[in-house]
Amino acid sequence: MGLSGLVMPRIGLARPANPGDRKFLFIYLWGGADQTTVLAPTMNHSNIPDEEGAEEAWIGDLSFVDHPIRPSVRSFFEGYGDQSAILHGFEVRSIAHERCQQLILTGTADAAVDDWPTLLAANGSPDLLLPCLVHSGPSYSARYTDRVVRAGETGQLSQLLDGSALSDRSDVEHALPSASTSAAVDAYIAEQISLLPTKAGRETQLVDSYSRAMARLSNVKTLSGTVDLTVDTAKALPERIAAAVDCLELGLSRTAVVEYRGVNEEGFDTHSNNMRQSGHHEELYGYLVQIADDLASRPGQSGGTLLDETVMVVFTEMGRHPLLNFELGKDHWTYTSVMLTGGGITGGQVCGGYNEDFQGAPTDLASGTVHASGVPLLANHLGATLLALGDIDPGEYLPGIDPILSLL
Amino acid sequence: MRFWLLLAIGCTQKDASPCADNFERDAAGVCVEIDTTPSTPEEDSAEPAETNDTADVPDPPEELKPLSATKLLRRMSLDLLGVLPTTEQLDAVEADPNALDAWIEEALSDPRWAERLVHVLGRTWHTQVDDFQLLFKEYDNLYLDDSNEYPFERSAGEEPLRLLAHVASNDLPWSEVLTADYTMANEMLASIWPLDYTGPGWQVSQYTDDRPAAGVLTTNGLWLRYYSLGTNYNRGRAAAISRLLICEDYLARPVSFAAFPSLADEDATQKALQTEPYCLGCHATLDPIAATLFGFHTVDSHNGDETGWYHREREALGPVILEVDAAWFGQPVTGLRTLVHHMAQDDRFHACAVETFAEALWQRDSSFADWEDLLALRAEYDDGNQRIRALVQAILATDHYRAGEANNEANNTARLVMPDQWSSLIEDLTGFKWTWNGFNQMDNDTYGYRIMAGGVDGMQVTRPGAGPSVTGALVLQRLSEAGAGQWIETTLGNGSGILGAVDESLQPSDPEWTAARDALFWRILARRPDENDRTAIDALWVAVEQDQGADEAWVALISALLRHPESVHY
Repeated sequence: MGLSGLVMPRIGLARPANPGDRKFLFIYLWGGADQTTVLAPTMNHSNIPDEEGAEEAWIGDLSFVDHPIRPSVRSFFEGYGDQSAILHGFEVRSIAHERCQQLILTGTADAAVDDWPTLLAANGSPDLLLPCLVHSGPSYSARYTDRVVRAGETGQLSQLLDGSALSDRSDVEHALPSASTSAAVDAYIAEQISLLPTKAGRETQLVDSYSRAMARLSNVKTLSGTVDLTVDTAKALPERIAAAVDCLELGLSRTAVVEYRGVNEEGFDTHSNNMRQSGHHEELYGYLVQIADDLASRPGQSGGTLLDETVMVVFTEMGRHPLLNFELGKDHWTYTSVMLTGGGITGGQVCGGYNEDFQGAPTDLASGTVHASGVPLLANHLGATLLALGDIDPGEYLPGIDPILSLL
Repeated sequence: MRFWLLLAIGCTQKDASPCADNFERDAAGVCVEIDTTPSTPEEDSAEPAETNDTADVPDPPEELKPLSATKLLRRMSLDLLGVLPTTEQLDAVEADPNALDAWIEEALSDPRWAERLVHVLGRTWHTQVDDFQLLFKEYDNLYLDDSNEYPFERSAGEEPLRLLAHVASNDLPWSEVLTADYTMANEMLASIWPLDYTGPGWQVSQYTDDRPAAGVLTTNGLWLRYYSLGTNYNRGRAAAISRLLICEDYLARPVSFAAFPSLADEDATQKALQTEPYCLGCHATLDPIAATLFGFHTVDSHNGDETGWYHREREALGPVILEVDAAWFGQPVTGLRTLVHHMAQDDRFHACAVETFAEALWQRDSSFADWEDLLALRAEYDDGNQRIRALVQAILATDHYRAGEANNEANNTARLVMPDQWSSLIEDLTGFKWTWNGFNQMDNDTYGYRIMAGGVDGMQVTRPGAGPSVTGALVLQRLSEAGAGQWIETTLGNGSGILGAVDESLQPSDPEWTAARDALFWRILARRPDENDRTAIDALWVAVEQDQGADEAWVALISALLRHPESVHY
């Protein structure tokens, strides 16, 4: 049964007072999630067999794959479909995991670039203490390395900050210098940085970067008692990233990145038995409901909720072939779909699409609709859209690439 | 950057290219700084000024200013040995910069050079990962003890790197990385794989499962990292061979399915790979390489025994499954054994060696601007009978390696100290090695701090940190605090080492104290402190000593120098 007509989109969604204040929570599905499991219904594709029991469902103009065994998916879209947009048909232009991971996050195979989360953070407020907080998952930075802060998969950052890394994570326990000693050493280093003569080239870049990192670190050390940066990988995704959400709420971070690997950390790379995608997605959407509920329950900085000013970006590095292989799994596919939720985006809509052979269809960037005069979507269009949502001129980093305006 | 080095075939002459401004070539062909005393006005007037306003303005000439001899020694020591030079070595080079040549000779014979190569090559080979497809828990003899995790991961991941390092550091022909009938193994690998091993530690060993002699291509560690599942049929592994050994990256080529055949044709994919020009552009050469790798094909990739043993009986599956004849870029081969001999004859393999080591030591990507330098290095490599020692010596002599300042930011005149270097230099300096429950904490990311400190994990972070980060600064703080603490605890007052006769009672007014301070400054930063340096560091020591005592004051002084802005790069 479809949901068309059962749920009406909400109106009057709060948006950040300033798009430059918009935050981003990137949730990366490792392995290449199958977009036909939830995001991309294929009922109208005669070449693609449908999953038994699956139906296309609608929230406003947004459609998704509904299935009785995935009630959390339905719950998510019932609750947040009107604040969500699904973007179809991005071609990442590779089918190798590591390369796709880089392409979807940077739009290029050139390694010496900053990824979308880093660029968004770097162009946010200079006062952010943890501008781009990477809980887990890939990260690419070149120009703005000092803006990226990795929390460590098992809570390394918090243990480094409180010094327990030298006792709880060391075979030999080492006593920390006193706070006054640490402060004296920090002051000495800051002074030495300020005294260094300016030289041409790389050395100055490194020293400047070190200076910024030390200044930021000095402030991060004051966070004790304000935010608990502990990460517990044994916990479920929403609890695991609670610290990241705290940092978004407190204005410490503009972007946060977390990797999700599905049930039992198995990953979405299902070359055999594609039904495993169903379990992964059911668990994922259950978590997304919790995360969105959490964001919606927290106050934002512009009078609305934190969800109103935080865009959840649910993405994967590539798509999966629309047909099952001989092991009843699905191989890699260059086209993928992305879901954006919250942040005051224009939700309840689908942008782009797939043609009969499940290739990305040309898309009119102004309306987001499939149109013969449109352009094929690449990862760069995702980047341009995210940058535009973050009030950054995409042309500065992606010359000639326009964002999908219907989302803004 | 890869293809054009082919043009260097047969090019073995000494480099005669011009040096950068303020340099000239000496008798050995190495660029050395020349006297740059300002000329007189009369001399200047002899050169007519450029007055043609309409002339094209050329790019400014590249200006490379060399590091001081002692800073250069520091750079070389961190690159080749992973440690800071001793004060005696600094003294010698300060007195006679030519002493560097003898130092390089010694360093390239030092066992620590092989250890460095493992880490340096690991940054591009990406085998030092924290998780393989196959976990240590899938081995019967390992799964009960969690402390096996790190030794398993690093041993397996370093097997191919250790083989490369063995060939390079022992001055063997580089082609031996392809043709060796041996590998490198340690106790861990010997306990899980069919190896004829006599320890201790990393030793030359041989597999006993009748696998062909194909050097690094027959190391289990390489194929644990670059695993092949389902319908990939070793193509990913073939792409890895190409990227790592001939510097041809198939994955850098954009792949589009926009022209993919109709889904209605069930056999479309397989047919396309063999008939569509777009697909054939890669698969025509990739699949014939993949066809040679089926001795490593596994049915159950989570079976430790199956993945550990070579399956000669499966070799024939490759051509059948992939429907191609095995070949190396059009040259038919009968399997891995003949494949590697074609590879060793392929000029791209040698050009790639030059490029790989140049980029590793320059610590930046090469570009077309490096054309002449790379040609010259290739000539040195060929003159040295295609061995890495001669190549590395030539790279260390390049202006780019020795540069301390440049007007072009693309030149890497300063490099960030990597976590593996911090680990070894702190251990060498202070005796402290940060370990926990079997893990080297500066060399893993499950519980440790490798990528937080700017390192590469080979999966989520594939290039070294471009600059200092918040977490990098924090890791360095804790590492230096622990290292300095251990150093002071074990040496202060015992009359040994760099602190000499210093004990808790001595003050900055005592000559032994000032000698120790200056020696530390010299050792860690490779330059003599000036009065401003002394005033600042003395003030730090005095402030902490009054508050916390002499032991902590020395910890503060040492950790401050380790975290000094001149210490974090080299």
